[in-house]
Amino acid sequence: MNLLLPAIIGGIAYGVPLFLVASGLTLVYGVLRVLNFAHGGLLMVGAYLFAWALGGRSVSLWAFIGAIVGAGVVVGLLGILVERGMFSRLYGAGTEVSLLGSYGLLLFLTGIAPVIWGNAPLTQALPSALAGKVTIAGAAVSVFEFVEVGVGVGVAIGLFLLLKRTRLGVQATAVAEDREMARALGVRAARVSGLVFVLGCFLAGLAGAVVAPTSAVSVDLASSFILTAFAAVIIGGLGSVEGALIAAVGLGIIDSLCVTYLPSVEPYSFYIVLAVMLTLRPQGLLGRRQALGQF
Amino acid sequence: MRHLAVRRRAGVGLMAMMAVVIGISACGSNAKSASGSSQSSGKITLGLIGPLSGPVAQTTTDARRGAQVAIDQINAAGGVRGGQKLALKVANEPADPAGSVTAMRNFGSEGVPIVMGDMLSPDCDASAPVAQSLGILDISAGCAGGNLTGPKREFKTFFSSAGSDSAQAYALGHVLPARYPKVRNLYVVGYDYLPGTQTASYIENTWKGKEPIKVKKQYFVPLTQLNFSSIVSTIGASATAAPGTQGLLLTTYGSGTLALLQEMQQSGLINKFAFIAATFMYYQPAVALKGKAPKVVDSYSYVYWGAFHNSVNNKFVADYLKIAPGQYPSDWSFQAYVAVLAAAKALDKAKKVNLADLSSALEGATINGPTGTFQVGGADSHQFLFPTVVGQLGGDPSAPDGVKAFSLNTIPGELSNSIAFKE
Amino acid sequence: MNSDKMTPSAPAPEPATTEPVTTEPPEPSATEPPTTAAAGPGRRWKRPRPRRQWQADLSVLLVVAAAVVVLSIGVPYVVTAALLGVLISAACYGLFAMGTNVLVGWSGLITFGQAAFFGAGGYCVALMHTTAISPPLKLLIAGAITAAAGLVLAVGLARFLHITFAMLTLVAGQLIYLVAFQTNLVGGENGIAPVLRGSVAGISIETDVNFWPYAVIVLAVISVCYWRFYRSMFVLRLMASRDDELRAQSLGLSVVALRGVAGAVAGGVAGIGGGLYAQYAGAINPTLLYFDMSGIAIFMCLLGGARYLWGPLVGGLIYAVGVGDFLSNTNQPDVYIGIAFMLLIIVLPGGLLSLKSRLGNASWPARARARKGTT
Repeated sequence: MNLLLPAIIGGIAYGVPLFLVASGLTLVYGVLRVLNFAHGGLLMVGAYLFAWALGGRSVSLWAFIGAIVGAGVVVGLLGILVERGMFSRLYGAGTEVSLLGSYGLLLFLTGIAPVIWGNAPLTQALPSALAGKVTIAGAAVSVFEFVEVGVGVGVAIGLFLLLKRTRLGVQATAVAEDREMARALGVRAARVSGLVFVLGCFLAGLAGAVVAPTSAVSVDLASSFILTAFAAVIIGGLGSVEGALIAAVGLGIIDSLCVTYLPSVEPYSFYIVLAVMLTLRPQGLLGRRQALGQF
Repeated sequence: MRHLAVRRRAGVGLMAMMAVVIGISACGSNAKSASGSSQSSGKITLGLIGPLSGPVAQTTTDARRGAQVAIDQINAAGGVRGGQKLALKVANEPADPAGSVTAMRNFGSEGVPIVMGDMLSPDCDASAPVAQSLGILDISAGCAGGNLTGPKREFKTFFSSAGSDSAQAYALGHVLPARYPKVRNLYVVGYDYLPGTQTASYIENTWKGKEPIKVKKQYFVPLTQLNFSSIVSTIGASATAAPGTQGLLLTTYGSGTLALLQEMQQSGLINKFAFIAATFMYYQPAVALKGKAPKVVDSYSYVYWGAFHNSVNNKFVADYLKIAPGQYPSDWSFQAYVAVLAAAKALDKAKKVNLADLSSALEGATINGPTGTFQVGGADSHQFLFPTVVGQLGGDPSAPDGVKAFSLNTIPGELSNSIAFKE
Repeated sequence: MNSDKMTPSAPAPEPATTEPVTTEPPEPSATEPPTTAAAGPGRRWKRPRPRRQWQADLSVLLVVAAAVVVLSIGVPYVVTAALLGVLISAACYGLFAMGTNVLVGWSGLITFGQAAFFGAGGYCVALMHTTAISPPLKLLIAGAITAAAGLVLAVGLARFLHITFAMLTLVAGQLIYLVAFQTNLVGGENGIAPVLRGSVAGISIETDVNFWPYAVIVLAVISVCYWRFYRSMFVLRLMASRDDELRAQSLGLSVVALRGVAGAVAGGVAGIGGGLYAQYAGAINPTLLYFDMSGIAIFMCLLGGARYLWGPLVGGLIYAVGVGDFLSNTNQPDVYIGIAFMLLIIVLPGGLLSLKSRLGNASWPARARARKGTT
């Protein structure tokens, strides 16, 4: 029992950043029906920008925060470019086409990053204000992990409020339901789509900057987080932000429990949960059925 | 009514294909018809095959620089075989097996006699037979292993200037209990593939019978894993014995090692261990941590450039800095450097520049390298028998590359390599 | 021989083309048993047709055989040894792309798990390389195994939305990669090397010059079978389920069964390509199973044109030569491939083979908008 509580706490600390990574992905899919394969690549770009801007050494707290937000903003701007240049032309062509386009973007981003930033991985130290750890019920949680959880929860609340309470959110939901009808009712679908996509990219860049100090910034970042993000999104239900949060935290706890009690199973824990979920409830925890008989 | 497929005109598909093939053939014969023997104009080309892109591309960059330094030094001293200059050609080692074989074949058709390739073991396995059938002497600066260089090796003409995993593991197993006599438990975190899991068991094997340290728990993660927070918090919760009695072994490499160490530093786990040991090169990750690298005991052939005080190494480092300002040579640079030294030696000693003569000239040759004088293995082992160095590296903000060596042990090459083939 | 005179919508008996499918179902050829769907409007024409169709097919086969002979003997004289190797790998990639397109183009299912079939085919052949089984038979065995795997995978995943299907195939493919990496039986991270090629009918194929005709014949045989298969009722039904799943189901088509068989064919053809590749490269390792390879398969289909019968083969050839030859020494080939990918999607979604009819037909977005309008 003295290992169970730390495992759960460790799992939450693992899962919430995972949600942060998956949040942009599920938002963009939920509203635009575009599965942005390049999400991992945008995350990687955000991490690179962040680490490169700060230079790797420890900086002041404000510079640190500024760089995180800045990385998100720059990736969001990149998102404008990508959306105008490619995705906006593909909205009517079906989800597979934009999936393929985003895959091409992923290849491009993972190819260009080493050209710009070199082959060696980058690291970024924490500001001294965030260094240190706290022990909760036997689990050593670093102060920064608290920050990550805070950011993740904040993003979850923010997205929830955005989608349910703001005008943009209502319009985005309308566009998701029926684009033509929304346009007929006066919603500027192109503008709404663009904004949502940019927000998704901002979240990707932000997530990249947030995970950078606890990891190493290299091209591997794109693929290593994207697979688990996909798993979280599928398990939570495509398009559901709350589902992604629950799924991510759940996956984190399960992973942590596996590491503690069944280490040999741990690399496969995500896949097992995915398989079980898809067999029992193919639309995910909080997903909706898209069409008759389809998930 | 909708069309379910697009209407096609006669044979365009087939004609397109034929056009493509003919076009390629035409291009091909024009482009490559002017390849002659590279030994014609008083110049001998040495080949180097390594990945130019991907996570391990840095190894190729380092190796290329190390090889270039050696070539420049040799050319300045008069070249080989009475005045012929050496030149370096780098080819890509793509991820797919056929690609590395193609690189070797290209070198074969260009008449390159010695190739330092490949860097990754699956590609070495694939291209070694091709090198042999093409008459190329293969000195890999990246691969080693019983099947490639041991007594039961399959390719008689394959040599390796890389340290073997088992030799390095043996060295660690030898040094760790001696330097840290109070440590009783070992935790292992590594990549879930053969070198990752095997090196841990090699180290355990060196302790068999005496059991100074016991492996308490092992965690193996997939190769692309960059998120170690679960493992770190689990180890943090279970490694509760006195810090002086616990040790940690890492068989991760590159960004995985970095990510793990970052998490450990942030959660304070570093302080729970008397030592952290690594079976892969730690120098590059240490540099990436910009002066804040935790102290890690590493076992390799050239653990740290500043650890060897002899004229050969001084010149090596100085010349390396000239072609790569601000960058110090790493293990890969060293391995490629001595590979070129050995290649030059073989070229000088051999009667004719063909595979058989070069190979027998290389066996047993004595090389004066940056870590001292050593021999190339003879008929029973085509390994370069330089000493294995066990060094503790750590961050030092005042050092030019942010890294300092805090301690060093040297295990003679013959000893560590003789253990290597008991696999 | 010119059956154009029979009906305006009859398929023209030309070598190696995609069959135009118009309002009437294409006539099944003589060797195919009549199906219930053909009992409709096509039946009137059935009796005179098979003879001509059979003669048309034979002429195509003769042309293909002639091409095989010419290429087998002629090409090694014209190209360098390195380029010959690249061309052989191009044949392998071509097969890989052809298999992939059964799912991507014909069934409309984007799959990121194709690499698993390609790699598995290679591993099967590599594991058999010390036995006395003849190389073509090894390919068939490998193909059968990967076809079975494809059937299982496709049936298991058939009921998912296209997007979920894509992500799940990615996950499944990565799982297989992980397993291969850790399984000593298949060599772990080092894979299996060397893989001996063996000999066919007493002639050793260890040299590239001898291997090339073997590769060409394998490619030709599979291509002919592929082409015949394309003209079957099954593929028509498959495309129906691609274009409108609900309507196809209402017509009594079992989407799961269709996709299952499509998965089997895709897996089988890709597996044969992988087996040929392992024989050529003389080695196999897990990098062939990584999802990069699946992305390359899709790229090849897109490059040539997923809606064309020979699109994937053309795409495969161009990719293999482009990457094998021209891009082989660049630092980051992904940059170029990524840009090409995006350009293809935006500007030329029909692939290179659509260039000719581009002026006539609308591009994908416009066609899709048109399609939506008729639904």
